Amino acid sequence: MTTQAIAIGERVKRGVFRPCLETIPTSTIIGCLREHFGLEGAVAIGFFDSGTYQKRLFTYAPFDSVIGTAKLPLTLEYLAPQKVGKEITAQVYVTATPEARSSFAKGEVRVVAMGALRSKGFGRCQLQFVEEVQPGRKVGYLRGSLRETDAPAFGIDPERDVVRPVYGYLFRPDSYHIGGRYERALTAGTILDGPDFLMDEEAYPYDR
Amino acid sequence: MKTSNQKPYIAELHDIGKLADTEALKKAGLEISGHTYHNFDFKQLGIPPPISPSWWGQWSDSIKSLVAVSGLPSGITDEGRAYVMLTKIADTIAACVSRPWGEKGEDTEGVRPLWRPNFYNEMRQRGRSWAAFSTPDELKTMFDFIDRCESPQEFFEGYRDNLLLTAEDKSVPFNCIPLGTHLDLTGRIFRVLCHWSELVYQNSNALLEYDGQRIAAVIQAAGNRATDGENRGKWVFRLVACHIRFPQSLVRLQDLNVLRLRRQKIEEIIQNQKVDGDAERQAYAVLFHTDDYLCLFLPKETQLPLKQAMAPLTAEGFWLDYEELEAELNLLTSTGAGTRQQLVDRYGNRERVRERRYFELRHRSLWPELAEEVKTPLCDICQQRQGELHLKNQVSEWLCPMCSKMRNLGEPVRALSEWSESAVWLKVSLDQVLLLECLERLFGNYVDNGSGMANVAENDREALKEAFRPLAAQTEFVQQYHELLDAFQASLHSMNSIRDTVLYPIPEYKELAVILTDQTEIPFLALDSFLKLLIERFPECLEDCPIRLSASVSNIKFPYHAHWQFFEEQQEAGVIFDIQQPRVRRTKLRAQQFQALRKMLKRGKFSHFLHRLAAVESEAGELMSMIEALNRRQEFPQIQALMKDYGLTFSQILDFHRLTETDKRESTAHAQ
Repeated sequence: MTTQAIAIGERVKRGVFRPCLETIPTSTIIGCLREHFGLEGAVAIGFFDSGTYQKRLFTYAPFDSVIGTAKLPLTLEYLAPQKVGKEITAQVYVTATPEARSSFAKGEVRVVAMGALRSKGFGRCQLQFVEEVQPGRKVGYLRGSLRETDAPAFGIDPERDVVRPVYGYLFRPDSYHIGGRYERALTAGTILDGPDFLMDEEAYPYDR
Repeated sequence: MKTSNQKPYIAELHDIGKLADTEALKKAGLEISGHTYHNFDFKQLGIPPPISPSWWGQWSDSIKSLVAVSGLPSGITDEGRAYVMLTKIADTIAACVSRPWGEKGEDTEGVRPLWRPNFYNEMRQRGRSWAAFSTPDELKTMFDFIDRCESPQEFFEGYRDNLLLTAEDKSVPFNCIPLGTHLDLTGRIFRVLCHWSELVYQNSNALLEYDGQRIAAVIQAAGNRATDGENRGKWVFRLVACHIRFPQSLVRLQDLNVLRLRRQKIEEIIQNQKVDGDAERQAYAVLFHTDDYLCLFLPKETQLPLKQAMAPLTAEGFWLDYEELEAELNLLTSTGAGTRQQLVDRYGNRERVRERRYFELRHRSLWPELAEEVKTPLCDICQQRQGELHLKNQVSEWLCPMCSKMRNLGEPVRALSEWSESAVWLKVSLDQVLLLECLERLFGNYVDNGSGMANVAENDREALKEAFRPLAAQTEFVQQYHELLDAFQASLHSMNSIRDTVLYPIPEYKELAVILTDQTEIPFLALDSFLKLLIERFPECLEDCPIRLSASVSNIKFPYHAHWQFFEEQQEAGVIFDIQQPRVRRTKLRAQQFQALRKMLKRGKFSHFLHRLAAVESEAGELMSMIEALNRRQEFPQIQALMKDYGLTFSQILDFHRLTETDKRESTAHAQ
């Protein structure tokens, strides 16, 4: 996946500063695939390639149309290309369900959108199918965030394979896509036994 | 421990003889051998031997079995023999988890902390000495003290200086651990062993039973060390190193109450060690702690689940990231990964280790009860529970009951909310992982270069380095760190320019302070003072120092959570100062770099030249800016020196210069 600017917000509220993530959580990318490809059952996760992006700040004042004034200015952190004229690149992994296989053709480039401030041009991405891979397994530190209910799709049994969880919550929209609930998720730093593409560095082989 | 005759048995007193200056006493005509006095001829002093149970501790090196029949103190009961043997076990564990084993160098006088080698000499120059008992009359007071001492605290308070200045072992390189630290660990472990073991009889023989395992001798309980033999120890305990984390993002001033709450809960855990409030019976031991770290000694998980011991913290929403070693007593080391590897090397593979020995090293986390699903809206602060609407000053927030309760603990400092100008947030932190790396390096240096090590062979030195167990040194370092925080606070309060403007938002939490000031020089006076104290107390560990002072300079209205995110960033070894003006500039400095910048940038006008160099660097690269600096080295020799001798970049120099400039406008213009 490539993009020029993207802001996938960390869920930190009540501040005038909104930090952004350096990975694409399952909740964000699954929502994107459902919106653009109609994929209901596929599970996916993504990671921006280090060295292709840098963090920048964007300050804006949201407008309150009810009282007709601007609200307190917010500063949003976003990812911008590391070098002028280049793009941010990311690797997106989608479980190879029959539905997903039929949606992607090799070499085909699809334009998708995700993250915050899409109305202001952020989050416009180009997604291109590269290849189908068979991941290896290792024990290591998780480098992204995934809902526990999405973990089995990656061959992870939360009871058996998670050595040291670090929990957070990710949103799961309801079937009408107007509401939803938060689901418990495994976040960066979790030590688990799982597919190698999910891992950052290998962890010491602790006993279970 | 109270014995049946109601006199206390104080395990820590078993080594009180190490505070006696044997050479001086011999010169005074007394016949003494070793540091225990169980064979001492009391006729020499004309007094009877002590009669308190604590006196039995002198036999702790002799009574290694409950079935021993000869060489026992008169009047000792089975219960007394059990205490003495448990003292021996506790002493062994305290040594096993906390210091190295191996070939010894020469004997020396006084303690030599790894991070402050000259400590004993400094104290001696101030007229203090390690020895508490140097004359026959003083030796009489030692025996009298053994008789009348009522508690370990009385011993530690009465002989505080001597216990600090005496090494647990006089030989190089073992003399890096103060006797007081070793005895403190021994006492804590002893009380846990006492609580969990029971004196039982089998065929009228006395035995000690714990977790269904009966033992009559030290070796049966503890087993062999990983490198010594293959005896399996029957008694399994745990050593747990535990980082305490909280999920809250600090948004309002009241959210700093999470720091107060964390401290209160740690105190509660320390209090809960005592079974039914009795200090002599402990279900577990907090070996040492900081505000975000606990080191614990506990029985097996099946006897006392960690969840139960840590309930005060998890019940308030804190979560724990911990490394746990559950093993036979003699395999409990503070370097679990190294011991695990030694065992695998010895037995061939992990499964064979499991067949022969009990050793489980785990990395886990302990979380409060977290629901699998949470209905919207999520709590704005912790993001782990459903929030309820709270309205304050027309601002709506969604808070869960736990975060709401935390906010209601009070407003940390009203003066902060009334201040409207610039402020400097200061946060001191100690990274335990970096500390362990630093201690290992310091010990390695001491083994290689310490005076008194010349006669130790090269391979023995390597064995010593491999056998280093840092826990006692870590305990002592943490103690010194707490003293550094106290001294820093006292230093801030003693400076006229800072005294009235420095605040500690949570008074008992000394890692976080804020200075309300518009003058850019004032925070640097605080930083100067911190560095002076650090150099005085930890002179040998500056190059990979695990202590950091972060300073964030901004308008007081700048969001707290942005400061806190900055303070929470990963520490780097040796970076002592991390200074930022949020979203404007940031610079990380080592001790020497800070000192050089303070000295060289004090005089002279560099601003325009530094800006010029920074511009050249960003446009044409570091090489071109270096050439520019070289071209004008006659005019600005300091810049070249800072770069060449102290490894500073132009950006660092410029950022530091801008941070110290007395230009109020810029420091507030960028703040929000």
